[in-house]
Amino acid sequence: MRDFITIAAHSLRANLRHRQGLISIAVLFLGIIPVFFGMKGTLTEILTKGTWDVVGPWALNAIGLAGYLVSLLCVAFLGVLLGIGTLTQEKAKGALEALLATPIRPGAVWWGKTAGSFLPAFVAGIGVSFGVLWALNATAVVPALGRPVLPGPVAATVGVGVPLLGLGIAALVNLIGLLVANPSIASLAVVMIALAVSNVLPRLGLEFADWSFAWANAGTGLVLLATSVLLARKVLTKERIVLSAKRL
Amino acid sequence: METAIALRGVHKGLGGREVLRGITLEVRRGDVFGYLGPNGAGKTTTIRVLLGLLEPDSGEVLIFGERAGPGARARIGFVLESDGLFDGLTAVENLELFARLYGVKRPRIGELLELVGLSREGRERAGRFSRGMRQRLALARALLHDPEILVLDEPTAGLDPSGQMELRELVRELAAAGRTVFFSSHNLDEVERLCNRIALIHRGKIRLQGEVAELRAGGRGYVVELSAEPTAADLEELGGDGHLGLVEARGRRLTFDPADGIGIPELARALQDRGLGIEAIYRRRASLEELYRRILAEEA
Repeated sequence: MRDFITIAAHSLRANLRHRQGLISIAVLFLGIIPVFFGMKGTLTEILTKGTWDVVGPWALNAIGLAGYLVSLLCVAFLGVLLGIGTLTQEKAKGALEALLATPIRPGAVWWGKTAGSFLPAFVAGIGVSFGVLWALNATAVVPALGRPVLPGPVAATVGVGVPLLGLGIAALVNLIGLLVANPSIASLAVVMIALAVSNVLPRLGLEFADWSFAWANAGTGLVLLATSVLLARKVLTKERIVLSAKRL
Repeated sequence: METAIALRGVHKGLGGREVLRGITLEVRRGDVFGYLGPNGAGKTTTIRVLLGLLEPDSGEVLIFGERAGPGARARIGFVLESDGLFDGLTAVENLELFARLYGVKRPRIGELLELVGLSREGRERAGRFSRGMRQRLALARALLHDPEILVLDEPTAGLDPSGQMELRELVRELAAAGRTVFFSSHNLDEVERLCNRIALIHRGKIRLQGEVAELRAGGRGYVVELSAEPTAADLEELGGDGHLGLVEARGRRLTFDPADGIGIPELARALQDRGLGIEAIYRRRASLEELYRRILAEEA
């Protein structure tokens, strides 16, 4: 446990100082601005088309979509982008090998690295997603309805479902990153899979403001997490990590 | 004397190639042990096995007589070939990270930075350090948990001459303080100056192992100290005698690598016959470079 906390704290600090990490955060926040204004316009238009009884389901879906997109961008992708840059560099320069030459277990390195990339993304994701939901309410919902709307399923998706999905993705990406020569390409592959999953879930007939959508995200995250743990038990060794490192 | 490190019959294959082919070596407590070999001989693989980064296919690794597990390996400090520093962390943060991993409650960070001459650079990021500074910081990191054994994998590679000298001096001081040092290098001169025992690895096998002084005593030929400096004509005459095998002439000192069957009496007679006075004749000591070349030539 002590080693896990040490690596997590170290990774957190390294990720937040890494240039690629800082650029990722900046790009992500810039990406959220059009999402917000797009969803605000859509929501305003929906709410002007009729009474809440008529347009309510569409408005809730739009609020759910906004929360989902923003939290997915922050928690899932920011987590991956933050972690993978430092991991690639540490592998290439032999720093990871030095870490493994101490009496640490490779599992502690994996979990520590996962936590170091996931935690800032989680905190940013919760803060920014609920911030965007609050801003949508303040600028579109309250002027039309006179009261704010935050459906329970949307809060669950943003607060639990997507963070679990993000944790599953971060665990898998960091595991692959530790085991392959080029973590950036591997992480890109995982992000593409995650994108495909996030694209498939809404097409399965699940509405963004439904409880089923929140739990589908959480379930997908748990499946990714369980897959990563099983995979790690079989393949994660110091030898594999060291031999996969490609020197600069 | 107590054995600090013992590798017994260690085999390791990587990528379908047997990199270590039955490595057996012994490092005694207090040794400065030079591990020599050309690039690709298996030095780094041996060190990785020693540090637990690679699992041997067969054979065993013992640290102070104990099978090398995490506990035994905590008695080792290391400097890897690639220094292994975290560029984004400051010198102090790099040391703090490893101190925590080794469970050092009160790390002597200031003291160690001073030892390696980096006390002013403690708050600077390692990514901005020169190669020499990085190696010195890596050495400070290796000493954090006060290990009994230091494993140094080509620590002077890429350093300028003054950086090499500084690092060698540090290693000397650490050895004088009673630490066992396992020093891998392909710089023969460096190993000859620093180490009391060596092993030479070539193509995954140990070809030579022992005390540097003993190994060097096995040199071929003789050194003759003359009472007066020989003339050019004397040298020409001696050089023309293929049986004597004159190798080098430096002032009054002549070095011979004679043909088989010519020993000290025959050599002395040949010199006296030419009117040359002899003050001393002794067996020539081989340099590590000669030993090294001889072994590689035998292999070829």
